[in-house]
Amino acid sequence: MDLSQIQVLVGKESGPIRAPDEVSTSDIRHWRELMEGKKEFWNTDVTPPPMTMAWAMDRLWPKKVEATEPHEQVLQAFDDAGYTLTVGIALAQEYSNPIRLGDQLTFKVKVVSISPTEEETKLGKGYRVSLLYTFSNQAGDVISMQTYTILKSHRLEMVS
Amino acid sequence: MAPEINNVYWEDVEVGQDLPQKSRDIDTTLIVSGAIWASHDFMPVHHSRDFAQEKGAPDIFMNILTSNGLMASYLEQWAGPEAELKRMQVGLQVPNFPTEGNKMDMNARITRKYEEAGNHLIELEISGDNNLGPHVVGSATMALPAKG
Repeated sequence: MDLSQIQVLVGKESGPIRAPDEVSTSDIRHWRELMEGKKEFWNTDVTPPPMTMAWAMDRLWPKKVEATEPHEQVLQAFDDAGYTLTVGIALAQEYSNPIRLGDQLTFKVKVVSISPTEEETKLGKGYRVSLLYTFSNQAGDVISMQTYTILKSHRLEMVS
Repeated sequence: MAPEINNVYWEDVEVGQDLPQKSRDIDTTLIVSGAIWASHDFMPVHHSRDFAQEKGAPDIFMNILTSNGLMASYLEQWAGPEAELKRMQVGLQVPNFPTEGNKMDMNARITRKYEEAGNHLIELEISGDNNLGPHVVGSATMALPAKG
């Protein structure tokens, strides 16, 4: 698929994608250590809700070889056209149910919008792609809906 | 000595109230660990200086999940263990680079206070500023414990 065709994928949603692991103490600890939250302030059975997206990030290995889901096809089309950089620029998260230790998350990704043409942004020229992630637990309860907006670009232009 | 745990109660906060500012030093370790270790983001602009510079950035820079997480932690550490984060929305402006002496100053102001479906809620405007200007701007909704 090339860039002239990708707008047909707007509104299309993936099937359920399974997180690679159950929610574990080490995942939560890594997050908590980085954020420097005092231990007394943690509910250790519950994941900090802003962490949810960490279970939906691409794995280091094995690489997914074929883009099958709508959002994967969008990102692949940009990669193929040389827009290989992906930088998150906005995130809106709503948390409706807690994520507990041992939960097995699944998520679906819907393509919400794609810039019709290349735009000027604070990070340089590129296309904005907004994706709606819906996370559920093993009981089927929706735990969070998150709109993640990324910039796909060739090259960054930044002030320093 | 055990650290003191303070819960902030809904009755004790007011619209217009500013949270105490907190700052976080921005260095390479925080940016790389935040991307790879905490949020599983392997885009090389967040861990490889050579790659970032080849692509036009002056240095590696923080990923959005780390910025969002630091702001959430700032709110959670202010409010105490019984508070619950319900919603967050952030947009990034100038990047967080690991420049010598760089830090992010985190601030928040309460903009609304209301009850809904048995929850005692506040809305906040949030911001994190670095040596170049505003890095993260957004809003959040939290449920606070009530005295009853």
